[in-house]
Amino acid sequence: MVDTPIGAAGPLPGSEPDEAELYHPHSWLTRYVFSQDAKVIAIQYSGTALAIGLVALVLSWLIRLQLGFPGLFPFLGPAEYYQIITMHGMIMVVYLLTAVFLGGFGNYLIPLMIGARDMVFPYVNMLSYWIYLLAVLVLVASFFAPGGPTGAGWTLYPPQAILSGTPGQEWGIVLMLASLILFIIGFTMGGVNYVVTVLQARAPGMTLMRMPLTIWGIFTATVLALLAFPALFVGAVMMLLDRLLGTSFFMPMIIEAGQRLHYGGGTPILFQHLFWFFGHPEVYIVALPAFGIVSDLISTHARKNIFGYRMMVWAIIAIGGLSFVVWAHHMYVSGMNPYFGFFFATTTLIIAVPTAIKVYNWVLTLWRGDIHLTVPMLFAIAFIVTFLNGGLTGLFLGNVVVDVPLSDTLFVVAHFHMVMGVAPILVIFGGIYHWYPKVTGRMLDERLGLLHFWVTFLGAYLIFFPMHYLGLLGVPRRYFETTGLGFIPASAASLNAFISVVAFVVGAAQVVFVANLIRSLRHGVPAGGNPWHATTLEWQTPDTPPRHGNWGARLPVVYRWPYDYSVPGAAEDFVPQNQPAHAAGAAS
Amino acid sequence: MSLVLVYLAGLGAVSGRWLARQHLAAKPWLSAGPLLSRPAAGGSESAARLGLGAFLAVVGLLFALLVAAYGMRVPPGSAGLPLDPRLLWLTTGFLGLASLLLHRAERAAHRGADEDARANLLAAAAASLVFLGGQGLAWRLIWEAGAGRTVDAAGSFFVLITLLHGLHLAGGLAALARIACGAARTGSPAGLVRSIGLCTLYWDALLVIWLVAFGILFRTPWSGLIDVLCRPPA
Repeated sequence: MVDTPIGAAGPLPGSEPDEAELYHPHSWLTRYVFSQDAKVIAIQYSGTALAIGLVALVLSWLIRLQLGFPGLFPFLGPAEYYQIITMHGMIMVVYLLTAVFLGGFGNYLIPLMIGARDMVFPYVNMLSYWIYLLAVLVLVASFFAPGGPTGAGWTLYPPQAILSGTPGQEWGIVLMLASLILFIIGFTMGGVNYVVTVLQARAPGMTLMRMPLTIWGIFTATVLALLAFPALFVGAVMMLLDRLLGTSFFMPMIIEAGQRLHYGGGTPILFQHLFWFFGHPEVYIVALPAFGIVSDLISTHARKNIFGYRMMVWAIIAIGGLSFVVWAHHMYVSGMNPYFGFFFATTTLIIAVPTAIKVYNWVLTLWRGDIHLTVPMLFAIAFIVTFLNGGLTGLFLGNVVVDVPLSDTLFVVAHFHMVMGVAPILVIFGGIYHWYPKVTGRMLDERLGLLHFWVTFLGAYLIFFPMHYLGLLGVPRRYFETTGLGFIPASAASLNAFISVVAFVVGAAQVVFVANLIRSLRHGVPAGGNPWHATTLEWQTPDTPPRHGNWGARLPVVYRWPYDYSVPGAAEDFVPQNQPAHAAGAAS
Repeated sequence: MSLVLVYLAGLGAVSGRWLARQHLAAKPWLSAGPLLSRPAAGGSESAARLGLGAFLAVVGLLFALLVAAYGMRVPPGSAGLPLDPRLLWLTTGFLGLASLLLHRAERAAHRGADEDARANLLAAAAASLVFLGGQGLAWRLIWEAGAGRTVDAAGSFFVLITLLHGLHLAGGLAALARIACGAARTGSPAGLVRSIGLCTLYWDALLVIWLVAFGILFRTPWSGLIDVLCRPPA
């Protein structure tokens, strides 16, 4: 794209629909099932991801049953426990968070927020979803396979992941790896689509520096994912060959039950490099869209322009770049050259700088804003606090000397869940409360939303704050059973039981959310086109919910950035992006 | 992982150069109205090319990771593969020929020389099939010699890299077949110049990827350079 002065531009290009390139469904099946409309695909992605996410939520209850009340539930043995923690972790990180942010929010918001009619490759976009669904089904199939799902832990470290002592060694690990490979193929199709759409299909006037931060976050996260997932793909294929063909990419010489296996010469550390080369950017693949969405939520609901827009954009790009040179801080305890440890500790601290800039800017956006404590705003503020908490403990763990004693304790579990679990999920909820009126034309019930928010937010803190303390006490993670260990005080068991009870309550609160989603479809208050009085393009569509093609006869033209709130002299306290200067009164 | 970081640095340099032209220092809150952004010339054509470029960047990274993994896993003094490299020089020649023929097809389509373009497309597809057949034969020879599961893993990497590379080429052949069918249906490939151009770019990229892989799997004039990039420091 090139930017030109308006006077030199002549007639606005691209303001008429290109009928040849806009796919039109011809049947119910192609409109709602095998749809090529990004909005339908977004709902399919989100529905599938939330469904499999609920499975992972139930798995987390089972984990808490064992940790809080060990030995009380005979159906939870060590093998089942490891299978449950593995599936919980993998589902949450890959199949829920990545899929919802990029497949769900990405598909729905990219075309609408940049003023496009659809993704540039709608057919490929449709394939992306169906391959994702296949990946989910293959993963779910492992629950029913002989031996059950893999219990290798969500990091799937070899050699134990494919050795006979690990649950799910026969089918579970094969299905997990196959599912990941499918997921990555499907994501690549979608990801290329998102990138090209952002770069090529923006409405006239939508320069890069007029894009909402939500789009910047999703766009940069997509680039990250396109460059990070190949490492997981390579690792998964190599491990699959080790498991099925007997190669020794990762498998060293091993004696199992007195017998020497045919493996030899492999390096498990190689897998760790590949895994974390994907694994650390994955944190930002989830976090960057969350950053973007939160920026838009707080600006809209505080009726104030985002503070430091340029710095926010630069910080997103900087975080994206730096996220590729910090991966080995996950491997301090695997053993490495001390200079490497120093390097990765330094890069880890450096990446905190652009992240901190974002936090400061959010706070300064709120400063003296006209804050409306709507449900989306509450979730956005909760995210800022939670991400800050989780990020600070990340600074502890980024240092080698602190990480080594804490690495195998619940401190890491607490840190990770705050920064990568609770924080982005709060944004998902905030985003759903914010955009549900555009998707359905109806508002979600606010009282149920408030109930959902407070139970989830306070409950998450009651779960994970004490867990940091348990970690500092030395309570190990991944252990099936910790009772009777001399170095753990008896009070730790009581605290674990307390955490479990709260976890059940927080989990149950999600039923309120799902019920609200369903109930409001029919009984929600009609939302109108722009219930939040927001400036961005998705709220300016001629129809709500937007029809296929989004914009009716003519594409929108963008005249301004997306954060013109409380503009002095303007007729209203917001000026939409597609409103010409003369129509906005004295705006800007 | 040096090769991967070099690859990413290259991508970063290209992206950075592009970003530098995107007015990222603009103050959008001050510029209501005066700037319009318009698509670069070409519209959907440039979208397709950009899409393919993005995909090839991902594919390139995939193979860079495999080559880097080879450098970390296979010892420098590996005994090598029980395969006469002349077979692979031959298959490499066919892949290069396919790429060349696609360039000729593209030029012919530009000129409107329908028959010439169609003949070159078919010849490129045939050369690619010969390449795949040769790779398959090498694959089989390696596996039957038991080199696919040795401790030094060189054979395992050969199997893995040629398999993934072959799958990508097979996907390209499917696209090429679709283009050829389109050309036959419309009676002229001239309207499909864009598609042939995309295939040409794809084949060129797969040729470069194969040359890098070939350079690490066997001793070639460019193997030394690849060794420097993908072997961890001693």
